[in-house]
Amino acid sequence: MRSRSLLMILCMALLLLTGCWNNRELGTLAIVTAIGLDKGKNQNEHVFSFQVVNPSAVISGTVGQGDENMGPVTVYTETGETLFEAARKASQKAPRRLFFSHVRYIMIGEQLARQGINGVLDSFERSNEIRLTARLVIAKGRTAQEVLAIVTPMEKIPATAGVGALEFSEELWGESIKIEFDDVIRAIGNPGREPMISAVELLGNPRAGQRVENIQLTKPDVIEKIGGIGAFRTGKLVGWLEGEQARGVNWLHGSLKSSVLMVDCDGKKDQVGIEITRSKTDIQGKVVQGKPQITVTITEEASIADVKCAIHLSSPAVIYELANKLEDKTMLQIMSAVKAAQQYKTDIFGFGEVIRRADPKAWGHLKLDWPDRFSQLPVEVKVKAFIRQPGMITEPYLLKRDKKVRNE
Amino acid sequence: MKFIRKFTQKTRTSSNRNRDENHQGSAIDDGHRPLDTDLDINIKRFREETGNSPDLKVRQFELGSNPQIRVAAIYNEGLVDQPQLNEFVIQPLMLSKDRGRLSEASGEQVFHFLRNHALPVGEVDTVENWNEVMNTVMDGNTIIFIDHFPVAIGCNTSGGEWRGIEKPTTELSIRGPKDSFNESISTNISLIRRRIKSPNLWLEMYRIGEITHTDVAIMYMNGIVSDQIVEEVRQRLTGIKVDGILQAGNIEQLIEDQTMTPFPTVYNTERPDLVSRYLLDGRVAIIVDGTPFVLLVPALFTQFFVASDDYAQRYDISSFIRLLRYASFLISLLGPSIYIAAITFHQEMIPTPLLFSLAATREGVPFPALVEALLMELSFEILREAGIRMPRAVGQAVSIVGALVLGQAAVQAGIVSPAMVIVVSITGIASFSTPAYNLAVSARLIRFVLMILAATFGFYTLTLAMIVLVAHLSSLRSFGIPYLSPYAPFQMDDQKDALVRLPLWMLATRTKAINKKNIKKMEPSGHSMLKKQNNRPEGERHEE
Repeated sequence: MRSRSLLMILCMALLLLTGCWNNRELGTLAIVTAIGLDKGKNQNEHVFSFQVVNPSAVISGTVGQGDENMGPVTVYTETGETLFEAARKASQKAPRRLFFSHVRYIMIGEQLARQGINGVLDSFERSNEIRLTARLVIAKGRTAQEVLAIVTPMEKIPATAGVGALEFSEELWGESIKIEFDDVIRAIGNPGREPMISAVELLGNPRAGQRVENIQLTKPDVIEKIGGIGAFRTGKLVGWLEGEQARGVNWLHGSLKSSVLMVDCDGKKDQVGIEITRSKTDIQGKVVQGKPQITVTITEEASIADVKCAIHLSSPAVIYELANKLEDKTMLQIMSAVKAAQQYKTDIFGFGEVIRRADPKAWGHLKLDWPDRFSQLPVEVKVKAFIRQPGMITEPYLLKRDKKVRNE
Repeated sequence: MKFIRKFTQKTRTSSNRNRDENHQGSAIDDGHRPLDTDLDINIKRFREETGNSPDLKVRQFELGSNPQIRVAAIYNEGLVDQPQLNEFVIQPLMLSKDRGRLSEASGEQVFHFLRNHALPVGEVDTVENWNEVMNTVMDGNTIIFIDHFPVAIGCNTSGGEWRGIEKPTTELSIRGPKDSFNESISTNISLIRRRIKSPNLWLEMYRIGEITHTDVAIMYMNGIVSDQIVEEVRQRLTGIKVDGILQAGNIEQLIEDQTMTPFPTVYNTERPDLVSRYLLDGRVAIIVDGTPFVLLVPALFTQFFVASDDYAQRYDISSFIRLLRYASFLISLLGPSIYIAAITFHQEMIPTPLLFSLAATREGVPFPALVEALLMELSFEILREAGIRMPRAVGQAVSIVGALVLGQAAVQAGIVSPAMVIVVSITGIASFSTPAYNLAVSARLIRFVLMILAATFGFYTLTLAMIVLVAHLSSLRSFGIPYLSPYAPFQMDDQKDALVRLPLWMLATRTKAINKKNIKKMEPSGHSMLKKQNNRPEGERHEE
C-alpha cells in the first residue's frame, strides 16, 4: 500500500516537474505569415525575410484598443545559409520566438530564382512547423523583402492579401496558378516535370508601400499584382509565361475554373466576351516508333457574357459558330503556352510523366534527354466547347435597334 | 390519505415485529422488558426514560365504577393527528355509554373491552414491551396503559404537519407532470401508487438508523424486476448499521458500488413520473422518509441524460435535445482544457485568422493560460456556490458583483482575455444542461484535473486522460449492471433509447441490460397494425 501511494506521488510529480514540455504561451510567439527568400552577397548565402504579425494592430476593437499607429506586420531580415540558421539568428532582433506553423506565403526574389532554388528548400520541408500547403510565389523584378514589406488595403496582413489575390485571380481570370510548396518539391524530384511558380509584381515605388499611410490613400501608391508564371529548368527560373500563355498553362494543368475569352464577330476582333464556366482537361500520351506524342482534349462549357455586335443569339447556328470560334481561340492559347515552354525547354506541364505512365519502357531512355525531346514534342490539342447560356437576355440591344431601323 | 397512512402503518408495524423476533435470539436488552402491572410504575418509568419531555403527554382518566379502573393515554403532541385523537380515542374512553359494563371488571376485561368495543380507530395493536411502547409513541401513535394489566393498547393516530406536494424545483419540465415528492414517505409512496395501479407494485419497509429509526421503503414491480437486484438491495440496506439516516443521500453513499469514483452509481429524482417509468423498466426505488428525492438502482450512465420531457415530446426533438445534452456534457468536461491545450501547445491547429484574434486578445494578459483558466473557473465555482447558499434577499447583489467582476472588469483590467471569459461561460452554461445534477457535478470536478493535464502535455495527456476515463467508466458497476451499457457491453436493442430516442412504438422492449425476464413491454406490431388497418380500402374490410 505504501509503495503504491509512493508510486502515485511520483507519477504526479512527473506531471509537474517536466516543466511543461514544448509549452509555448501565445504571448511568446511571433506568428510568421510569410517568408521571403533572396540572394545574398556571397555565393550560397541567402537573405531570409520574416513577415511577423502584430496581432493587436491587426485585430481592431480588442483590449489594447488596437494600436493603429503600429504597422500590421513587421519584417525581419537575416542572412544565413539555411532557413533554420537564419530563423535562429533572427531571435537577436525579434522580441519573441518565431513561429512558422501559420506561414501561408513563401516568396522568392527573382534574382535568387534565376540563380536557382534547389538548395534552399530542404529545411522548409524538413521543419515540423512549416506547412507543405504554403503558397509559393516569385517577386517579379524585385527582391522578396521589398514586396513582403508592403502594407495592403483591406487585408491588413500582406500575406493574406497575397494569398487572396492569388486564389481569386486563378479562379476568375486564369493567368496565374496557385502553386503550393509541395507541388514544387515534387516537381523538382521528378524527371518528367519541371516546377512553375506564379509571380507577384509591385506597381509603384516600394519605399512608399512600407508606410501605413499607403493604405490610408483611396488609391494606394503601391499595390501588388499577381500575374505571369515563371518556368523553371533544373531549379532555375528560365522565363516567364504571361497573358494568354499563362492561361494556356492553367488549362493544361487542369486548374482553370473560370475565365473570360474574347472572340471575333462581324470581321471585327474580340467583340464577344465568353465566360468559361467549366472546363475539363485530359492529357494522353503515347510513343510511336520511339517518338513520343501528346494529345490534349479539352471539354469546356461557357456562357455569353458580353456582346458588342448585332448577332442573332436566338439562332442555334450563331451559337455553334461562336462555339467553334471559342474552340479555335482555346486551342491557340494552349498552343502558345506549349510553344513558349518548348522554347524554354522546360516541361512544366508534366508531359514526361504522362509518357512515362503510357509507356514506361520507352520512358527509360526518353528521359535521358527529355528537355530536348520536349522541345520537339508534337502536341495535338482537341477542344470541344459548348455554349450553354446567353446570359440574362438573348438578343443584344444593338440587334433590336437594327430591326427597328429596318422595319421603319 | 388516511387509507395510505394506515396501509403504510401496517407494513411498518409488521416489519417491526419481524425485527423484534429476529432480535429475540440475541441478548435480551433492557428495551424488551415487559410492562409492569401497575399503572403508576409504568407512567413513572415512561417519564424517566423520556427525560420528562413535555411534548410527550400523559392523559389519565378513570373507567367504570366500583372499583374504578385507571387508564392512561400517552402520545406525542406534535406527531398525532389531534382531531382524530380527541374524537376517536379520548372521547370514547371518557364518554362511552357502555362504561357501565365495566363495574367490577378486572384489568384484563377492561383491556379486551377497550380493544374490541371502545376505540373506533382503524388500527389497534397489542403492545407488550417497552421497546414497542417507545416506537409506537415516537411514530405518533397513542398508547393506552391499563392499571393492573401488563399489556397496553396502541392506536393509530399518527398525523401532523408535512409540506404539501409542490412543483419540482430541481428537475423542471415543460410538458411532463408538475408534481414532485415531499418529505413524507407515505405521500411519496402514494404518488407512485397513483401512477401504477397494479397489485404487482410491491413495497417493503425497513427501519434504518439505530437512533433515528428512519423509515425506508423499497418498491419494485414484481414479475418485471430481477430477483437478484432486489435481493442485493435488501442485503445492502439491512447491512447498514448507523446511528442516523437523515436523508436519502446518506443511504446512497452507504449502498453504492464504488466510492472511489467521481461518477454517481445511484440515480435520484424528485419526479414521481420518472420513478414510475423506471419501476416499469425493472429498477428498484428506495424511498427514504424525510427526503423529497427517491433513489433508483441500478443506475446506468445513459440514464443521467434522460429528462422527463424526452417522453413527453415527439421523438425527433427528443433525440436532438438528447444529443445536445451529450455534447454539452463533453463541453463542460473538456471546454477549458481543449482551449488551454490549443493555445499553449497546438497553435498550428487553430485557423490562422482565429489565431490572430486570440493572440490579440491575449496581448498583455499577465498570466499563462492555465492560471488564467483556473482563476476564472474558480471564481465561477465560487459564484455558483454563493448563488446556491445565499439568502434570496441578497441574490441580486451577488449576481451584479459576479457579472461585473468576472465579465467586464477582469477583461478591461487586462487580467483575463475575453476569449477565456467566453470559454468559461460556455462551459458553465453547458454544465447546467445535464438533467442530473450529480453527473454535472462530476464533470465539474474532472474538468479541473483535465485542465492541469492539458497544461502539461497538451492534447497528448488529454487523450490519455480520456482513455483512462472511458476505461474507468466501463469498469464501473451499479448493482451488478455494467455502468456504460448499452454502449459497453454493446446492446443493440437498447440503442433505441440511448443516444437518441426513437419513436415510442419502436421501443418495444425494456432495457435489456437490466431486465432478463418479461422483456416485452409492447406488442411490437401495435403501431404498424394500426397503420395497415387505416390504409386498407373500405371494400376489403367488408370482405373479412
